Amino acid sequence: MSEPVRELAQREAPQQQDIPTLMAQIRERIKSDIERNLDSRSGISRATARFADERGISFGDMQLSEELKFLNRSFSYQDLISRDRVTTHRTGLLGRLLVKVKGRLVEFVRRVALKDYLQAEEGFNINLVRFLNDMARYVDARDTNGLSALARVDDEKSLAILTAGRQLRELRESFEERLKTTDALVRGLEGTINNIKTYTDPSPPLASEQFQTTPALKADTSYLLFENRFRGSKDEIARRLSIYPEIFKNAQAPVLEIGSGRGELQQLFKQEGITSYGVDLDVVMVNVANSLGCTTQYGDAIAHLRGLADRSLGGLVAIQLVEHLTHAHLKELFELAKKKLRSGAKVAFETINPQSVLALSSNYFRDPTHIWPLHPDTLAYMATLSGLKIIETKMLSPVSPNQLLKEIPSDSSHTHAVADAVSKINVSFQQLNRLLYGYQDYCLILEVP
Amino acid sequence: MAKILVLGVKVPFTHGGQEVLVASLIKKLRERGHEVDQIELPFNPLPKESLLTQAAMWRALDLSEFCGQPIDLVIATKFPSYFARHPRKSVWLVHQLRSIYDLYGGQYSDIGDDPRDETLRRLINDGDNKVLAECKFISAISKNVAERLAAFNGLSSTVLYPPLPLGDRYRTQAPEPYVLSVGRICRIKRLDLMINALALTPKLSLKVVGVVDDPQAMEYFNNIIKQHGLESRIELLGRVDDDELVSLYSKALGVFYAPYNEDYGYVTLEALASSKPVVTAKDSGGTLEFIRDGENGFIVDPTPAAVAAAFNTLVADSELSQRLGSAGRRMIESSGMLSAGWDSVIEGLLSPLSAHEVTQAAPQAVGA
Amino acid sequence: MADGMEAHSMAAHSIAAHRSLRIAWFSDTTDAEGISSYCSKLLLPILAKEHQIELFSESFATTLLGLPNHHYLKAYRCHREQPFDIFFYQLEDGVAARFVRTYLGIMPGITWVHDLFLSDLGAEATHNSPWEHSIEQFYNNSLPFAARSISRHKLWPRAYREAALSPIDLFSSRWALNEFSSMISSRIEAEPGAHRAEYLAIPISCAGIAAPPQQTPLSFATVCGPDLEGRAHKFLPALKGLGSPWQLTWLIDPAEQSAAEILVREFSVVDQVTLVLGRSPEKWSEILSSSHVAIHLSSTPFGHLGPYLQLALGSGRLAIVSDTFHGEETPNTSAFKITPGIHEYAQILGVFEAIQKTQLHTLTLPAQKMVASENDPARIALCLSKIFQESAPQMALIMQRWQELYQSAHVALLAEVRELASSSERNEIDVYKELLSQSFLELGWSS
Repeated sequence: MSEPVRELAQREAPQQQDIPTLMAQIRERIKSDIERNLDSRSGISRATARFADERGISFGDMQLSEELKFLNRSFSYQDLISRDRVTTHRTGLLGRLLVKVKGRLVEFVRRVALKDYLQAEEGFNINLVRFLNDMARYVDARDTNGLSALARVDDEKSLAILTAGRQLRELRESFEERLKTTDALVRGLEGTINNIKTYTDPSPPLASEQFQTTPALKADTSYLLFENRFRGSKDEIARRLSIYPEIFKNAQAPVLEIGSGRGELQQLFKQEGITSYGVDLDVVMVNVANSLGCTTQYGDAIAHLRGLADRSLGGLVAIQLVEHLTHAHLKELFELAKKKLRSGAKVAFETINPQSVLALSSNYFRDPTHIWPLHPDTLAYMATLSGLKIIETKMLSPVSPNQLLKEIPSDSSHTHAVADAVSKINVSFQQLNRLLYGYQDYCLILEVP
Repeated sequence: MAKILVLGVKVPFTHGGQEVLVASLIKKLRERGHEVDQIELPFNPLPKESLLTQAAMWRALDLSEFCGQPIDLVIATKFPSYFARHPRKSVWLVHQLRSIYDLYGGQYSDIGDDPRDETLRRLINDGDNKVLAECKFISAISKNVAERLAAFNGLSSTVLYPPLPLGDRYRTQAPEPYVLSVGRICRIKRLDLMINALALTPKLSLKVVGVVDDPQAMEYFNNIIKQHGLESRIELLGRVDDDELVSLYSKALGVFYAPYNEDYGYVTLEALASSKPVVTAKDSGGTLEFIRDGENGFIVDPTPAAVAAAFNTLVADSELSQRLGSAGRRMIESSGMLSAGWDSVIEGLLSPLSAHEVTQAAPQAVGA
Repeated sequence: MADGMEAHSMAAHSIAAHRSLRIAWFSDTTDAEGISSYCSKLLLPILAKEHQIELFSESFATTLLGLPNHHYLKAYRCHREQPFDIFFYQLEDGVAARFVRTYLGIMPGITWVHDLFLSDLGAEATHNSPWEHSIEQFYNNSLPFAARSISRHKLWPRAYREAALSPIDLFSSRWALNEFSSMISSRIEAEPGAHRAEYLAIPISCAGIAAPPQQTPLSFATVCGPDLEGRAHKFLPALKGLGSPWQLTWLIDPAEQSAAEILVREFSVVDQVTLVLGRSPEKWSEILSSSHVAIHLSSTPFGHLGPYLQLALGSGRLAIVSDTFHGEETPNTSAFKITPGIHEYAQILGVFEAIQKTQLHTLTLPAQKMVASENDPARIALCLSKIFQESAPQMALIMQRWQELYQSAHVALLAEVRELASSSERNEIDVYKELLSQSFLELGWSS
């Protein structure tokens, strides 16, 4: 139903309500009725249903039937065989004698000859009548409740089935939606990776040289770098940077931050009493940082490092920088780190975690000067090749829970089949969450031996 | 007079209305002085592919002359006999291969939508069209058959109802409490409807005239009989002679004849000739050309309950039975189907001869 | 219910030339109750102006609905003499439309599926149909034919076979389309994407239905059956619970009459309920003329709510539907949607009471507009025509490949025949070669 038509309907009769509103009101009322236990309206109407069958017997009548009443009264034959009922039509002495004799006979019959039989028969009749009474009650009860019971069973079952069915369908739909997005993501990935391959070149110029020859590019990319480095609110940034003072607190010499940007980390170091300075390619950024009281200078990171004395630095940190370096430069950076840092000094490189598809798609690919996604293992390997010792690979920037694929809560109304399906789907969602929404960044912490 | 060959299709060990029709035709032709003989080839509906070979076999026959004597005319009645070649071919169509036409898609057809089955259907359909169009005279035994011929094969035909085999020998007597069923015992005649109905008509018994065509069907019927405990009330009479048949018709309370989509059904007319009401079904086809519900019989849903209800009505109301029976007899008499019918049939079937010189009966060749 | 699912947004393989197409129209036209019959009557007059349409049915009549008609078994001959561009089928449950189900397996075409759930196994010929094998052979010519007479697992009640045998399926119910996409299509696609499934609404004509009468007494109308799925045991007591005067006209099949009477007596509403026998859209239109509210609470995958529901909505009647199965696709701005179950009675009573207090014509406007546009016969005829035009090239290819399949079948059949006739156990001569081959040639059965 399209929105414009609905609005049109509402506009034409602003006082009147429309169908969805009315329906919602009704459902609300029912819900509150139930909550207040006023469910006199729920279930089928208690109006007595008179169901006429061929004999015209209606509900509840069986127990009251004449036949059953008679049986209940007359199930014992013994009473019929009693002395008192012996008669004769003869009169006079003969008559009285006959009666006496008959009476004796009857007594004999009842007490002796047929005793067992009569007892058995009475027992049988009692049981039969009892059974018939029970049957009658049962049939009556079933008749009255039969339809409603049937209807109720149907209701409950059908409601459960329908709800489960609808849940399943919603799941399937949301799953398919997500799958479509993932599909698109992966295709984008493939495409971009193919494009990136054309970028790599055995001996590309320094990033700085590149920028100097193309000022426009420089302006563009610095905007992007800005975006990337400073994604998130001030609190988030502060939170993200908070791990670094901890790492460098025992630095014996100044800590160098390459790609220091606006100087957030520099400020933080200053606060924590860690001596540090920064180097950045962006003049504007450098000015901003310095105006805030930091010590940063304009220059190319690698060129700067090359110019330092060996074992002069107390630490090296690069946030969201190494992914801009070519393989050759990265290699050189590691070597320079080993050379220019004192023994025991820490190195921290933070970069985007390509294991997280979200990070790749949202963060990594935005910047065309990113050279290659650096897998934590790759970076670590390169570090060890250069002789640096790996302290830790810290995963950073987890995705907020409300961005993740939601698992389906289990419900007591689920049948086995449904619960089984639900748990399978949940496992799949967990897998997908790990793949798509893993940690967005990581920090490789190294130590110079 | 003319030398005529009547072509027959014989399923061995069966006997039904078809055989009666051909026998009557031959008899009547001979009565009019023609030299007639019958050629029969055995027919087997299975396997399906053999339908093509059997039609081709008829096609391969040369019926133009035997021992120097030319054959003036051949008359065919059924698939695949009309595939035979002859310059003067008449067809009095009883029915075609129903499993590819009116029974197609139903429970009595084994032709499915497998491409080979469909190809088979098309080949036979095309074959039918070609060979029937060769006939110099095309007629059908009922309106039903004629309509199908027009709709399926695009050929128009004359309707020539087969006159009753026993002519004016049918009679009526006071009814006894039994239902008569006449016909080959096979699935399509739906005898099970009557057997199941008998369980609901306590006052009646059932007499069945007819030979078993389909042993599986017979087994099924026997099972139902046992199930309802009707052994004492059902008599299976097999084949009976003409006198016995006439007698059985004459004393029945009513006749059950409700096959599925029958082309014609002698039984209906024999019952009417014997002044007996007929209970038939809404989908019985040819019988509906003669039976009017409530006038000379009942047309009911093909269910045992409906059939039983109809017969119970006949039992309860003997005046009604009488009335229906008489109306049926009057209808048959006025239609002229009792005996005069043969003239128009033979005139039509022999019409290709009028354009051709009829050879005199020649002395028999030696050793013929 | 994305608009992307609508028929007019199909990608065309080539610019469709607007030429007059020859269309073989397979549809029941006799069943008064049937949807295909109703749709044919509304669409054919419009489509026949643009295309050459010939009807195929079980009738022997030479014309039907003003167009030439042939018995469906003759379709192959008609196609041979003057080929059709499109074979169009309307698939529906019920005996009257069985022949469509059968012929779907013979000639591929475009199918308009009105019922996805079929209540019977169909014609015997389709029971052991090797349709899955045929589809595979269609895509892979080198596959041998299936072995004869194997008992096959019958997939039922969903119309797997019927949906699979048409390369293009149109659905008149979005719910059914959804069912098909999620449950069936993966099972029947021999090649992914080979199949196309889309939604096409049924045409509705509300001509002849008068405007609703005065609002009291409140008049209800329903076509639901008296079985459990029809929910009569819910709405009848709800009606009984209404304070003000009301009446109900119940349109049923004659076979359902006794069951309906029992229900009416059971809930003591005999005086206010009138039973009318003989379901058909025409009868329903008559009844609607004197009603305000239509009850369509049927909760079952079998059967189709249209055109009855749409006739009610399109003519300005309020409708109350189940929100299950076919009812799911009704927008909740068009009708009151009830969830079946424990609280069904309370919901229904609530709705009836609400209806009593409101001005009906304002509530019914959205639905009326929707039906007027979505179910407009002219628009649907245009959509259908467009589908025909755009799919004609594809269908031509498919029919040709199907033709090739039949040629292989012919060869296979002749091989079987030869095998039969040349069995060396019985004969020392090759019967086929010596006696029959000439006849086969002459009859055109071999070449």
